[in-house]
Amino acid sequence: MRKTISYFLPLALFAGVLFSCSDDDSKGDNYDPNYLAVIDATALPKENRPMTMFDDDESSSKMYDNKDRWFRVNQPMQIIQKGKDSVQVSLYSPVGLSDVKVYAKLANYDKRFLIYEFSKVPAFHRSFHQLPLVSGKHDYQLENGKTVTIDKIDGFSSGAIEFSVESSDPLFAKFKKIKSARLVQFSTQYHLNNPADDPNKYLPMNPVLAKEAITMIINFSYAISHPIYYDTFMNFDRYKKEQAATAGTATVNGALNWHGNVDDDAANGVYDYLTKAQIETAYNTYIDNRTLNMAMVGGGSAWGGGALASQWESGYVTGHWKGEMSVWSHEYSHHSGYSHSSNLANSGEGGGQQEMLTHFYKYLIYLNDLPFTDPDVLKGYTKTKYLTGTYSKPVFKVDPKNPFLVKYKEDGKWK
Amino acid sequence: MEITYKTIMSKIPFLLLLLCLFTNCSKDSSGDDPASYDYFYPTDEATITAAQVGDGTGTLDPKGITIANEKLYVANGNVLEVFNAVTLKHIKTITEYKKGTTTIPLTEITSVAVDNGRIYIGSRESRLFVMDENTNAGISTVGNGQWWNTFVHVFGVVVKDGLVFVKEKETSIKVFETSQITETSAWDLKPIAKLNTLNGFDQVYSLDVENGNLVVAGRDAKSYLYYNIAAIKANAAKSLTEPLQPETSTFNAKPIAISFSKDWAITSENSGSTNFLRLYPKAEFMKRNYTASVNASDVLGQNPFGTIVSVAQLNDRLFLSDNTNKTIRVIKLNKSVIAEQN
Repeated sequence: MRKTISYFLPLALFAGVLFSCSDDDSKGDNYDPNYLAVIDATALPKENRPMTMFDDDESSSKMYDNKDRWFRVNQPMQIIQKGKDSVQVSLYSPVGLSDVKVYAKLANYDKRFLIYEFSKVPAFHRSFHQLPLVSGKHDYQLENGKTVTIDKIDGFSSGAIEFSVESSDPLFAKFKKIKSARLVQFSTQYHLNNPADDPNKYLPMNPVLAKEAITMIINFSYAISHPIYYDTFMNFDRYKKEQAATAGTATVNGALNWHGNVDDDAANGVYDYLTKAQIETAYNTYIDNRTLNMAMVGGGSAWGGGALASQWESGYVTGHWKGEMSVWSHEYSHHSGYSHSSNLANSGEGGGQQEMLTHFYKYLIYLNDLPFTDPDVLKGYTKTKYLTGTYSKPVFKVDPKNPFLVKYKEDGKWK
Repeated sequence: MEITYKTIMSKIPFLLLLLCLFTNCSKDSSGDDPASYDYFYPTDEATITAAQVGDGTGTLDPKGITIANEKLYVANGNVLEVFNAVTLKHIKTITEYKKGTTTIPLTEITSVAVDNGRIYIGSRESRLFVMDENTNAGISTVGNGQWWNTFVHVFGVVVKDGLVFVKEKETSIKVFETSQITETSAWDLKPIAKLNTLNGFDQVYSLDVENGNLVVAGRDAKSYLYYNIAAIKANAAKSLTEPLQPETSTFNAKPIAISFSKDWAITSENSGSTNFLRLYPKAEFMKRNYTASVNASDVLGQNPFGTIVSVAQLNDRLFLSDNTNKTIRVIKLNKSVIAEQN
């Protein structure tokens, strides 16, 4: 038996050589990827030209430069190819993000691969990064955890790389839910063209106000993307009936449902009610990709229409933190194409968009279901030297009769 | 001793078999093979401008282009330019059609095709000139220059497999057989078939033949237009009264130019104010699957394309007739490997 073993061993080795697997399997399992380093955007070297956008003392000419400063509300973390070999990374958010993964996709290859990984990106951050694809042959991680090796590419045509962003940060999860694709920017065209008889019709803004405006529009865009808002918008007649029932009245006050831009005979209860399909269209105009110029007024009234929507300084500094969104939603409706003959832009006739949206917005603050609910992330109200009015810290209070609170109680959070 | 040895010897095949079972590779997970892809990207190779034509004092207003036998033909205003497609040196300017004592100046050239030893030149002034590829001597003309005769202008031409396709004004393509055009044929040839491009007016058109189909960049119909050539032949007579309609696909951009090379459907498309060079894998393109392998509106972020009215390929170089910028852009197609690791 001892002999048997002594023969068996060399035989086993021989057979091992003869029959062992020598194909890619073993090699592949051992592929040792060499990924690019994770980047901490709070500690970048100067060649990345890191900066904070909308710094309090930054010249307002920067925020009004529409080539340089714009973002889509559903993409506050913005990656833009610059030239043939670099990207510009910008975060339009008053709160930074952790664990941000930027994916790239190239033509002729249908998988996206991890091109930059940021451990941290601070609030309102901007920096520039060379494309690793241009610097040489590198390994990149695919979404399935596997590795792809891409040869050096000399450069890229404009828009040749499709970027997308993922992050495990809960704030990013909220950004990702935003359905509206409005392109937000600021414009000098309003305050530089004030009429002689109303010199303060529009007022110039500054970075302190711009930061508040950006914070508000992200929150607002999240609110109008929310499933409960959509459900209420699509079934506004039901909302009106529920309100009447809560108030203990048998009849609905004013218009029974959304109505459009045709002048009404309200006295006789005649409205151009929107069909279900028209309501769906109206909702889609609320969240489509048109350009929104956010402006500030100083005269007797706020204005909206075309790209413009505006409100007073107090709305930007404290109002939105308290959920006072009536004026903004009115002007946003004008900007979305509705006139005063429609209850999308008219608070009369028993309340329309202005009232419903404001209730809903406050309900979301109450639930802490907005991207930003803490006014101290910006502390705009303390920055008196940049403001005309004087403000104290905005304190939010919910009305116990808020129709969304009454109906959904604690269960309205976007899951 | 002897017996023991023998016993083991007899067990050897069994042992080997056993080991085989142990060490056998059971790689049955299909789809795990490492995959490799190519990323293609354009870089600038050269630009042909008016300065490269003749003594450099003329103009270049490029419209239809084609490459044959390493020569690049460019419809340029009232003339046809010929370049060496490899060195890009200007060879000659063809200004007139000459046959015996007949001389007709070329005017408002829109398009050019080369096939089987002949050059076909389309003129907006309602003529198709046919010349010998080598001597440039006139063979025949189709149409006499009067729009109420054979052609209402000519805005595009392609010749392949014995057929001549001529795009004229509005929605009409007329089909001839190459054999109809001879040294002795009359100018007022009758087409064998007619095709309908659905929409169209008076723009330069680009068309090519691939895998038994005529494909037209239907800039006005906003679709590539596919005409099966066997069906054209089968329905030729009927099509003379009711021109054949193409197969179309829903498409977002406006196809402007099309040319088929060995691997690619080379196209130019327009979307708003942006002009794209788009290369589709040929077989996929013919299946109406429009996922571009190359999609560029400029080269490495520089020099955005104008309206590219015609495209051609020679080896790894693409030739783009950029009418907006009055240049022929010569572009190299580069390749980088994308290799998935297992």
